[in-house]
Amino acid sequence: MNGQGTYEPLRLADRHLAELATGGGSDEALDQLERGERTRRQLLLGALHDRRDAPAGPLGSPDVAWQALHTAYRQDTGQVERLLLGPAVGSWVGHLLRRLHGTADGPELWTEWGHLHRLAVSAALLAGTDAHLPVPVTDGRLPLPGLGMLCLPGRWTGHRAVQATVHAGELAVGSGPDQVTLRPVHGPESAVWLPLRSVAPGVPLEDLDPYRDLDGPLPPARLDTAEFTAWRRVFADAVEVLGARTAPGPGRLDPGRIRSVVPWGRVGVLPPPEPTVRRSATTGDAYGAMVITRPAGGVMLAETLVHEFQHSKLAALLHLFPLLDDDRAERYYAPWRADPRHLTGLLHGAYAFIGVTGFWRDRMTDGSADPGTAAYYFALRRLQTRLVVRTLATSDRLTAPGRRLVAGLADTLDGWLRESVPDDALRRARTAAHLHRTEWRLRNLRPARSSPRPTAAFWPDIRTHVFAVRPGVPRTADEFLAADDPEAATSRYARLDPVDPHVRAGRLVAYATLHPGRTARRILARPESARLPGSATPR
Amino acid sequence: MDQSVRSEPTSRESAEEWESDLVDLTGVPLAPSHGLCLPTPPERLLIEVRRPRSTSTGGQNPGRAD
Repeated sequence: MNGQGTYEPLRLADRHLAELATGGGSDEALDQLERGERTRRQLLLGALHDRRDAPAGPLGSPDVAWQALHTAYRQDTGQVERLLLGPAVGSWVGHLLRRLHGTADGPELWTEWGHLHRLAVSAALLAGTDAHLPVPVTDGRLPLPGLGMLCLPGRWTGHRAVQATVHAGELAVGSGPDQVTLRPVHGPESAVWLPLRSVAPGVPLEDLDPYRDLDGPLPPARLDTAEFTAWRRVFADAVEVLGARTAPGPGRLDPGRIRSVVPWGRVGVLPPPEPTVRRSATTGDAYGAMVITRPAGGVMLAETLVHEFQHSKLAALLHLFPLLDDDRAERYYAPWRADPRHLTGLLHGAYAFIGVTGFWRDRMTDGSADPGTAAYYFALRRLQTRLVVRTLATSDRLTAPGRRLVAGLADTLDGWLRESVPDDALRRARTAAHLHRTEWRLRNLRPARSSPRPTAAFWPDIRTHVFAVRPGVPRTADEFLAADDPEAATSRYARLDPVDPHVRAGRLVAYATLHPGRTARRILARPESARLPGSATPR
Repeated sequence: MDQSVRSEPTSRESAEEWESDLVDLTGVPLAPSHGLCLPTPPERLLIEVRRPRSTSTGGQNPGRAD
């Protein structure tokens, strides 16, 4: 606050924006982003605090929870500040504000307000203060943010309010003979207590908090011991990969910046995980958290950690400044997605994939991954990301800081595009890029206004990873194309459904490979209007 | 475009710093309390947080970093 009693605006040094615009960012730059995230969290918590319309449900007024939280904060600011800045708290705050605004759904509203009460209990336990207040319990479970989850014995269904008392680090929940008493902070796992575990020192593996996803609450999905152990092992491998390059730059990540990992889609080791990450996601409400399905190996996990943290960085930058004027129309091609994206989504993709491109660039020479595979992904993603950056740059929708950012991304990518890559990896990367774009256009665009509008249903990208390695013994049409035999590929595509956009994309790209020239360029530019010479292929 | 954001550079060649419409609340308690007067959140912030979200469980495309 300045001498006039008003607050100074947050400022980002241009050199820090320039660093972030390369796709990387120094510790100082990231610290500035995190300062902005703190302000955002404060303002949104304040907005909740100022609401006077909390439902008069079984918990009564939220004032008792706010007071307990404030008491704990005064006693141990450091502990409670870390709790309140936790990613899942951010998700809860954002979700509750959306529910109050009518733009999100969820369970009974008093239970969502009631998460504040659970937060207050956690804060009191961490700070060593006293608290006595009702808390919502769902199906007998009481999640305590940042600490774990209490499982009350007996038969419980639905949402109920129970009394919680905290005194000298001890928590008592319920009353009479059914009361459960324990010391949750650093308490061991038991029949009634599931502690929050860490995938690595300082990095929670968040499988319990109801607000660990991108918006509304979820039931817990506790990993069994074997799956937890597998996560720790693959995360350690990923950290080792990332540790090979520590100087800040695009594609590099200090794992200490990760605030939590939310395991998704499995709680046990069977069936075995896929080699690549099947699903990952991030929300701007939860800086530094990432939802990830466990892959088989550390390299792919490391790639995903880089990818998702790029989203957190960009979201934090967007919170500081509007980077573009987005009408949210979903019409743009994103090379890593099946669906059309709006401009903000495109910017997120570009920023995430410049990180991925840099990641694979490092892997070409540091021995942590197969150099040929790394070369392929580097060649593919630099090409695709540069295409998206051009779309953004020519959109006429960027603000001044947005132009600064996108120009920086373009500079990084243009430099990388001048770097040499082994010919075969380069060829496969270009072919894979053509195939994805071609299939996207066939599925999402129509050749003429009179043509039927495409259904734009989801379609899986099964080619990008197939093309990562040159097939030793090709069998399918795609494999022949990846093996640089477009003639054999063409004869095999001819046996398949010519109307299927996946097949048609293969045929068009194989033709363009066999017959380079103006016709090929026209076909690749607008495949949705293309008709192969001598073909009566309908559209 | 949001007119409340003072984010234009001070020179065409380079700016020393970029100014946000978010204020610096370093040192201000994070836990809200009565009597703690925080500034009103900028409308841009409220519009963004109120926008509907997708979830990891919805649809077949990966969750969106919106």
